[in-house]
Amino acid sequence: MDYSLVDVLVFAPLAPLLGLILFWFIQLLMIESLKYNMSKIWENHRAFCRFSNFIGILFQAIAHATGYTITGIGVSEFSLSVSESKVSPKKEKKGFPEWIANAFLALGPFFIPPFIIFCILFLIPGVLNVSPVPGYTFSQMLISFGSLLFQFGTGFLILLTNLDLLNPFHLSFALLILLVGLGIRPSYIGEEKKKIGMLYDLHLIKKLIVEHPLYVLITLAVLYLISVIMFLLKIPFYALLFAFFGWLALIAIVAILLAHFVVFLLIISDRLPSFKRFLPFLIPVVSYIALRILFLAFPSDFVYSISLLLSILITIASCFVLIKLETNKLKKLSEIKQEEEEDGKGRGDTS
Amino acid sequence: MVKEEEILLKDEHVEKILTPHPLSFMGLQSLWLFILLWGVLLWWLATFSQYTSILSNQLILLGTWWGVTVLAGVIASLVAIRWRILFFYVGILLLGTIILWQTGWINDIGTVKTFVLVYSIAISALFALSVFAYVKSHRYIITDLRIIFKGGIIKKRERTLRYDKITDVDGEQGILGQIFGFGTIIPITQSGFGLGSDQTFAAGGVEAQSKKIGIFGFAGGSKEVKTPRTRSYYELHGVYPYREIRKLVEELIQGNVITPYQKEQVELQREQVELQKEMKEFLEKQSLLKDDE
Repeated sequence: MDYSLVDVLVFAPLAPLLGLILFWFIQLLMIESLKYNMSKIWENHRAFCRFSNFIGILFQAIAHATGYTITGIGVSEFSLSVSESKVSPKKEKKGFPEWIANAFLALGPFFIPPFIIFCILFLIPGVLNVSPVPGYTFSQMLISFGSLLFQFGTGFLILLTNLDLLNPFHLSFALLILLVGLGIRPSYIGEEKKKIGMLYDLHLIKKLIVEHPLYVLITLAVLYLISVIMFLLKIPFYALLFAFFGWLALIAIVAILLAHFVVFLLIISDRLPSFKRFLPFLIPVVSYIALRILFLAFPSDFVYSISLLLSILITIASCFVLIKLETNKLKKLSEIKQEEEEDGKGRGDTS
Repeated sequence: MVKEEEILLKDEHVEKILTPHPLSFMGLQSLWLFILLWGVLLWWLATFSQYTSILSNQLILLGTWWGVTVLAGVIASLVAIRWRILFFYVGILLLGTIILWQTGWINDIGTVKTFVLVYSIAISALFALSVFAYVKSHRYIITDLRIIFKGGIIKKRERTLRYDKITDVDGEQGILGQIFGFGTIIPITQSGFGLGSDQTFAAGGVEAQSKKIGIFGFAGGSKEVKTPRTRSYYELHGVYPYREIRKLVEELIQGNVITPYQKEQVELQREQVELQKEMKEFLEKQSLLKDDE
């Protein structure tokens, strides 16, 4: 195999790490987008937002407590409410254990919730059927990382699109993904505009790196060592270490997308008058059941995926149609003026 | 039904009329929700899942239905320390089985499956309606003088509590309460109304009486803790918005409690009245003496 040693020993170990950072950043942006959309519905759906806050805070507290437990610090107090959580350390430990515990607090809420889904996927045959592409240079490592993500992503997507929502277990799984999507948000939504968001999270991570550069260097050194050992033994599993976190990020992105869909329905529902506000929630249910009944007459191999995707498309299209018909959103100014004129004429006639 | 105006005293004003939030009775709601969900799940398992062949026998299907429901009833009874939950579940199962037996539907597996589904839906709907009626039977009237607790579907209960009799106010807000903004306020009186007791028994067992000791004749012990607890008819159960109501109750109690300054003023007034009385008596005696002269 033709490769340069500098590439293999210096640059290649960084490739999957960079890939992971890129992927995690997409997750961070999605979280910020969800947070922005949820802040718009706070006034009308406080209970929903509080519930979402609670799940987020719960995951955060779990991450915090896991950090303390793993490092041997221990947990002396654990309390949780809709607006805050308190996890107190049992012992005071400085240095590396404290740094690890803080790393758990900063990064845990992003990866622990999708890990729950991952554990379930682990039990489903076929989804985790991945094989790493052998390669030890920077580009090959990047390809290997991408390939692992692609293989897992394909399996996960096939599983999701083939969910039978009339099956209670599949429905529960979909609801769990939604819950995780609502919870992967270390940011708080509420009346008080707390300065907790993407920038705060990044600030926490920056603090972890800047305040303890030695620990970061040690971590990097360990990674380089693993990479060298893998290279010498010709085991192509280095990218797999990072791909695992990439998979978690992928699960998180899908879950957040699902949460976006629910928030989108809520936003549309808020803009509609009277009983029509229930339509955005009824359409996906009715359309899915109707499609499943329809496919009883026309059997196909892709009943579940077609029903699910068509149902989502029908819902989105119906929402836009409802908004166009019922409000001035999505209407041209000329159309609004014309409607106003007609409305005025109508009133004149009746009076 | 007695109207609010009829029970009000002269110059008494209503501050708030409240009923509990439906989700504050989640324990009761979960009982019918379980019957519904388990009925639907069992029907689905017997009709569409990979376990259809296992559940294709009437006895196995009914056995599963009975087994899981009784198990849930035992767990719920142990958690809530109310054996009536188990008896209620067993009653539902018995009634269903008797109907299946008497009508002869038990002979056809398809009919049994449909019956389990329809019966579960019907029973849970009936139960849900009963819970709704029970929730709506509660009525709490907060006036400027007292709190009136009213309730009862058939047997009517009523309790009046004056603010000056309240010694302590206990509040409780679970996760659902925090999400939906409701909570329970228990006013505790000087007589101890509003206090219940939690009993634990060391070394296990089914002991309920506080004074008895001994398990299997060789070991045991009991502990009793007084805790704020009363029936939902005698507390402000699951009231919304919790924070606002709690503040209102606290303010009304404060308004009815005599402050040290007010106490001092009353004492001063009493002394003045005594002094005036003495002065009056003295003047009367003086005028009598003058008349004698």
